Amino acid sequence: MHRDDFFDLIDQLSRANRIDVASDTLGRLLSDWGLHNSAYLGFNMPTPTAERPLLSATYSAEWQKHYAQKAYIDIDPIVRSGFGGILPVDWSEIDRSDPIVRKFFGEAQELDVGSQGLSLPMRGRHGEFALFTVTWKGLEPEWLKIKEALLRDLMLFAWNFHAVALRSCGVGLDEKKIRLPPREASCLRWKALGKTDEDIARILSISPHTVRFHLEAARSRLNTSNTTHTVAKALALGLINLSYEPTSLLQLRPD
Amino acid sequence: MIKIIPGEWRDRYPRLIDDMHKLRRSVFHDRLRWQVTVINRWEIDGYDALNPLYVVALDEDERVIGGLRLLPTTGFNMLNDTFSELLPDGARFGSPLIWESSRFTVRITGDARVDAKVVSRTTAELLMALNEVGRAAALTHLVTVCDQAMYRLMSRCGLAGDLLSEPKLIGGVKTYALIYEYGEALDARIAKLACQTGLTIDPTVMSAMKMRLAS
Repeated sequence: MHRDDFFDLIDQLSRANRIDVASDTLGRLLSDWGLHNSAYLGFNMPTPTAERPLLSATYSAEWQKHYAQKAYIDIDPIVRSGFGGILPVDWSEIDRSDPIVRKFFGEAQELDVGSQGLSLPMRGRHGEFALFTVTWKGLEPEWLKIKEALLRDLMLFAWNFHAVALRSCGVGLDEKKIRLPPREASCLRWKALGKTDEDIARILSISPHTVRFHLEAARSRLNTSNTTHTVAKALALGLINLSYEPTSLLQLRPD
Repeated sequence: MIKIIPGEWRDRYPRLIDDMHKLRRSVFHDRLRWQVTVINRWEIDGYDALNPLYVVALDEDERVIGGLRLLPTTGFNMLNDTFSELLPDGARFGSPLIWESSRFTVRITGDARVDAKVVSRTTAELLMALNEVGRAAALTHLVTVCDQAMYRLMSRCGLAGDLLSEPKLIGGVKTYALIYEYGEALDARIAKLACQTGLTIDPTVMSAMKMRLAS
């Protein structure tokens, strides 16, 4: 592939906000580079509603069904090798002495996943973790050359794909600069904990009117449609935390 | 000898991890008197909880005599989140092709005759490992924050890197933010350093990385 074409694809990704759009771009990358399949798996994504991992894969329907039926996500040696790590994982480096692992790769091969694979772990600033995988059909010596030639571009592509996944969760990478003033953060946090405006007013020793003022200010800052949405987005962006009240806020409280 | 230990697999190498944290305590807390946290005789911080990639140097008896840790700049790391004042105008690093090295340590015995040889050799070994890991992850750059002594050591090795900003006094320590570019120039300098200290490019580095998945 020509360099300009590759950066066209990266450009496309940087404009995409939905996984399906990014997947079209990914499809072009795969065909241009002669790669066989790809998969993206996002864990701990910053959405308050989605506890389930975010998955997008081009594997055969048979493999995806088989994978789900066997609950392979729990034993998947690729996920286990990549999870929590930072180095790229070539599937050929994965220890196959365990019969369960051998069976997994055997079935994957049968259901046309591809004979060689490379999985790139990624970490972002929302505590999320993702694994971007590409596979190839062929023998190892040639694969090693292909891998070496493509690795850097794949790392870039994978990270940009991940950025699309984050945006699809409502998180823009550019939004990391947003800072909530302490009072707004405090009001939102108590909202997230289920308090009414009156409760919050009592807790913070301010008037309910002021509470609503802070909530509205936060809503406009985060460009959201209502308080529930604002709370969700503030949580997703890590601007508020349910488990503790920031110490900087405690000083503001009257005795 | 170099061993590469992904943080998420620390339970598989309890003795080496224990040795490494104790070495870090003796260097950063006891000797350099940095403001670091010591818990149960370990120097350990929040970045260790993020499962960094550890590179440790071992002597013939497999005792840890040096080490460092690596974190991608896409997530949380020291330059962005602890030493951001060293970055110009609120800029931050966030590239999948740039990693950060931190807590670079080499053991010093105090016996000048032993140290002269071992320190330069261990430093060279760790730098070779950094270069190999960079290749394995197709990195373009490495960033690091270090003190004056480390900066001078690197400069003597011909590896001063590029300063990201003017050094600043942080917590009473003159602190430098450096960036290195991977590639032929760095390869050549590290090969020269390795040659001077009598090291050859150590095949155990890469095989240790492959073994990480087997053990």
